[in-house]
Amino acid sequence: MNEKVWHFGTNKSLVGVVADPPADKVDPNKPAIILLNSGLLHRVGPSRLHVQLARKMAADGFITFRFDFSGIGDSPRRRDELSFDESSILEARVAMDFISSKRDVKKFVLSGICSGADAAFFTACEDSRIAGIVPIDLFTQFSKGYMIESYKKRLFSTRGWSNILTGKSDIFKMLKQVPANLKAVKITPETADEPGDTSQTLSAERWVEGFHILNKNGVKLCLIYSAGSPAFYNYRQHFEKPLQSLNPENQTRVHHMDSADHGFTLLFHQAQLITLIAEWMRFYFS
Amino acid sequence: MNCFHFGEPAKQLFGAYHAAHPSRDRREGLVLCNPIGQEYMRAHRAILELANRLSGCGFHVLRFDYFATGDSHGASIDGSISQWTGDIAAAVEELRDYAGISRISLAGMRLGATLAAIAAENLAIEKLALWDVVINGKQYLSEVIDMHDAWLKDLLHRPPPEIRHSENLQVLGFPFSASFCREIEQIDLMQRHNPSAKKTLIINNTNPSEIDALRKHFENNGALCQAEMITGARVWRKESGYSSVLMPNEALNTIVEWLQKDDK
Repeated sequence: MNEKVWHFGTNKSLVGVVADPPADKVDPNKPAIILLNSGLLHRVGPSRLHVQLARKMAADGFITFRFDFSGIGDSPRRRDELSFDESSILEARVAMDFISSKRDVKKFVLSGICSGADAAFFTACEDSRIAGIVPIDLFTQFSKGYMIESYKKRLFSTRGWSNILTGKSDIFKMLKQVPANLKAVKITPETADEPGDTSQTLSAERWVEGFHILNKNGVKLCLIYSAGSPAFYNYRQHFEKPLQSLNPENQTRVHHMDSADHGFTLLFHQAQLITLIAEWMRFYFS
Repeated sequence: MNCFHFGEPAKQLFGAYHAAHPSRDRREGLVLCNPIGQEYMRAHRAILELANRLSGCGFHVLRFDYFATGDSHGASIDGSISQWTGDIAAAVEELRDYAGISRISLAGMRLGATLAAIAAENLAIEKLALWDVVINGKQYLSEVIDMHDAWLKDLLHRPPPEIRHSENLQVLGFPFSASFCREIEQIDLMQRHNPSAKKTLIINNTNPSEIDALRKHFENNGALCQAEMITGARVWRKESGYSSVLMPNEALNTIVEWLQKDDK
């Protein structure tokens, strides 16, 4: 195991760990992998998944870097006014600059779960060094599938019913909102909760446009959806058809991991996810 | 803050050193001992905040990941209680060397507090702060297994049995080997009679009689001990109604104030 901790970026405020391949597997033609934070979890990922993945990918010959965006894990908050959507793209690019300056690497593959998937996707739309992305549970906007899934989840959960019996549930309030929420499929800048929250203002069309940019730039995509995430229903509703027209055989793969939860909590699913990514990397980049 | 690896080459540990605020330097150090598994994932932010507050008050602080946890070397299945108490000793030495100080205290959360209390028996430790310490290992193991089972029950897409079960016990995303479980089951702080530190703080938000019994036990072993009940969320677990709580301020303030109390 060959890992090194780095401080990098402006004022060396970002913290990351690089996992290097064994000397006999170093290949400058291979892209390096960058793992982006999943929500607020620090760089080790849910259940230490990023550490496991980084070590497996390094053993397979890929330099793999996991780091914390500003305000997450060990990297302190930024002092400027950039939104997370802006700073995450900027910092993912700073991470690529940094790895290129330390290792003989020209191309990158970005991966992340949930918000990390979104950051990987939009960084790839802007940076030509990115050869591939592995977004996991990409894109949660309120499609009808998302709403139905989310209500179903709460209605059928034992915790939900235990909350009803103990008087803690907001289920009746929630049911009242169903018709309005089902109508509010598309969120526009005018209806978004927070003016600065650009993730809420992006339409599905904007995402489809992103897919077209990636397709045009030859970026390989490995889209992975867990059964536990409503993101899958967004994918079905918004992206399945547009993606079919984007020459998916050569460039885009979509995997649905039956029975996996959003955090890949079970060891079986962790191993399955790592194998899936490792095989995809080997197929396209070895 | 400076992050680095330390310890023996084959078992490198991840460490994050927070230097004491220069104008308030107390020439005292604090090693923070994390909980394990999912509890660590959830508590990471609170522990970082504790380190920041303590360094702001003049302590030199070292956060670190035990072997086979976080960014340290080792696969998650390779964790063991004996390894981790040894890791605490290594972290204490590292902080002494790094900051050039001799007076070191320990603060730990959940199983990290238990490990701190056990490790301190063989170390020259000034103070020991125990945050919701695990007193009885058997009870802890059954509690975390129950939490895992409750999580499984709550899944809408329940995985089939062949996926749910694995060679090792799994607890909310982390494997527990059979030998590790046996080590945990043997833990009982009420049966240990070596003094851990001269002064001990116990804080807890669930069971007043339990911490009072532990306080008396530590006092019988010759330590000065203070026990306090606190309110607020248990940050290491997902608790209903507390999703918006960002920081367990009462617990953090209690620990920081107690550690700052003058010994003289």
